[in-house]
Amino acid sequence: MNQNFHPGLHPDADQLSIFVEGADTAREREHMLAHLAECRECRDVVFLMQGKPETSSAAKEASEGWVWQRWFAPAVFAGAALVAIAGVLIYVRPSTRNSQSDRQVAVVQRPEIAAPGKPLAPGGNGALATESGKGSESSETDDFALADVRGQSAGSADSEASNAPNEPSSAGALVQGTQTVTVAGSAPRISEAAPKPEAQLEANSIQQIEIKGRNTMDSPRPAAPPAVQAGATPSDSLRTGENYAAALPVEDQKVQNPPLSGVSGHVTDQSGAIVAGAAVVLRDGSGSTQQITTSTDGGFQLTGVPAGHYDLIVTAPGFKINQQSIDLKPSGLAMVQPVLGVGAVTESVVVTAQAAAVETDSASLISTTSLPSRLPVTSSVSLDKRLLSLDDAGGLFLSRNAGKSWKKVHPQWTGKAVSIGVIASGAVEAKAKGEASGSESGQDLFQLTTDAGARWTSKDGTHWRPQ
Amino acid sequence: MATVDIPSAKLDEHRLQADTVATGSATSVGMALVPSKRLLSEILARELWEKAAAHLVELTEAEFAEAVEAIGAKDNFGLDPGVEASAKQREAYWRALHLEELAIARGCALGRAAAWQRFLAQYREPLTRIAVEMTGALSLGEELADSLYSELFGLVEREGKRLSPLFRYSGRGSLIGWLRAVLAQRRVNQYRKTSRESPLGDDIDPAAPAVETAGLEHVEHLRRSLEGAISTLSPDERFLLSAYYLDARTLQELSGVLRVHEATVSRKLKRATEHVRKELLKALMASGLSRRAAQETLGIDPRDVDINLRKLLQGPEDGTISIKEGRR
Repeated sequence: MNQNFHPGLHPDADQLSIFVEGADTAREREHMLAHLAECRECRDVVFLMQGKPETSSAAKEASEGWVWQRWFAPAVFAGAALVAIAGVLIYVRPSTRNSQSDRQVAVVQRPEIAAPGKPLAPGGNGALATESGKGSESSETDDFALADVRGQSAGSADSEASNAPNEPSSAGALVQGTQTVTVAGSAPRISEAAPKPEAQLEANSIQQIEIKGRNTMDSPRPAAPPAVQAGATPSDSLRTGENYAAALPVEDQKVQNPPLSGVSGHVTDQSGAIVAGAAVVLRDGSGSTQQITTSTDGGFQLTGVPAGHYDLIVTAPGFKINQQSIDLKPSGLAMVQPVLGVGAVTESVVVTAQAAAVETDSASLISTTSLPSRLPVTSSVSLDKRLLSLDDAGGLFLSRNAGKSWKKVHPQWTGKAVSIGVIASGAVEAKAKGEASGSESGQDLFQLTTDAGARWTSKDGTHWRPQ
Repeated sequence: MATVDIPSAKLDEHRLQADTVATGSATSVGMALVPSKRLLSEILARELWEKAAAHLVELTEAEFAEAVEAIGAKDNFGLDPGVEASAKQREAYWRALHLEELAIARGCALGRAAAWQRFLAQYREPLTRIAVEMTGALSLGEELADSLYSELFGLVEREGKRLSPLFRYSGRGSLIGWLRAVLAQRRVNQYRKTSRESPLGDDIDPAAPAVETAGLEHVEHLRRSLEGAISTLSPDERFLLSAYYLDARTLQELSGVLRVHEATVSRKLKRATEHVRKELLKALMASGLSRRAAQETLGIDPRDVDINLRKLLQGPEDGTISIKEGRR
């Protein structure tokens, strides 16, 4: 390059392009700038080379780089703080969830849609899902404005804390709703069959079509909710499988299809464990329904539904029915986190040590949660939010937070407790009075039987009285 | 100022001569730059040849090795003149080249049909689009692009050899960037040719002689001080002042060229003007003026300062930039 900077010569196209692209050395750059300062002609060439799109993109890159350098450190701290807050919420939320506070109303705001060809702002909610199936949590944080459904429970005031663990803390639309209690009857035990037929899931996934003209990418794993990629090229849409083979480019979709809505989320139980195989039914005002089964990670997604008011009903064997009202706005994806209450009467659950999922294929309740006595659990029963466990030595322990902490129940009976259960109080009273059982319905009670055969009942698991 | 009108084609030819000397790969003159001792090992040459997919454009290993060696020798592998590059530095330099694009360009320059097919497939559409974007009109843009095609194809021959401008592509930048630069140069040439016929000169303000002859007491003194102040500026500051004040470029345009944020450009501009003002004040005070008188001198007439600045930044009138004068 230096050889071309003799007096009387101008830089050639190669040197100009190297300068414009920043591939020059410091010495070359200095020479070029010195020449440009004096030569209007070459300045014109350089500015003409920029072009409109390149100029804006270069400025944008420069701007982004500058902002990145300037805000890098605060952004890291802010991100760390958000993660910490999310962690606290994840820890606190399950214990504050009420099994009866499952009616939620979600109002979803219209998501921001980037103009075709215009890059989305980095770091925001517009981050693109580069590949579906990488994880249900990350894929759901993508293009849609996520509705943070906040509930107000009649029984639990603190349930209006933020949402379930999987929700992104940077969700776009923050919507508050009202929760009312709608708890249907309990379900009996669960069959041993796998709760999620693959065929059904795949059939349901077909419903996951474009929302506001965006191509939906099929998930490699049927269980994972599909990610949505904004501005996907037609070739991208073709990669989504034959179900989407007819997917049109973004602009065409915008014109031809009315904006549709969807609902997505994860089903968990009170302890925060995901519930796989739960049936999620979306029912509109006319009574027509769409159904999908939660995947192995508890996730579900129903898309391609018209905007409007819906009832979302979640059922799973061994759990109470969860029903909530949802208002779906056009082009919105409502994020809900149904929490299933433990079924009443005789239901029992097995909680694995990893608490990864609720195992529902066993009739007996064996909790691997260690009791304060460090003895094996003989049996456990639950009533409402209380979990009662009996260990080998006859020690009785009560937990009010789904087994996270235990409190020993002081024996008010003589002998050793050998079994525990739950019965309806009506039966007790009827028995006591010699009347026919079932004549009146009352509150369910804990019942224990001592080795001497005496039966004791308790409403709260702490205060016992002989039957 | 001398304004010798040199036709654009002649100017390009002049450029070509200079660049051919610099590139030195296709002509006998250029071959002298290729070092007598082969610096590129056969293993690395083959690796680069394969990486460039040069076989797809019908380039032999020897041809490609000669090209990359000549490019490295021309630039002294990115080092200062006189510094000898180590083998590692040479290898890093060669590997950093846009090898595939270099192979296409070199293949086209040598008239290989396969190279032209690849070139047309990859660059025809963007080249036309860029030309239309630069000219602002479809017909003008297509005309500009077409004229460049014929030139790139190497219709000009000298001493029995094709002379394609693509020989001058070094592979240090992208090929599309190089094509963009070539188009921009031709567009500016074209524009200069037509604008020369317009009555308004764009460099020298007609009012300048009037100011100079106005007989203001301190103007000449101010001019000398300004010359000293401008000379203390760094090249990028001079470029910024020229582009911003003389060409009326926006901060966004400047930030695009310098690849810095607009705020940085703004700060640099402010710093440069403040520096000039301080230097001026200092020079005026050193010449015996009181501070107040110096400040008054600075504020005589801003247009006077602007006129002087234009002249200073735009270059001396002693003809050191001869080609530029000829193109005006």
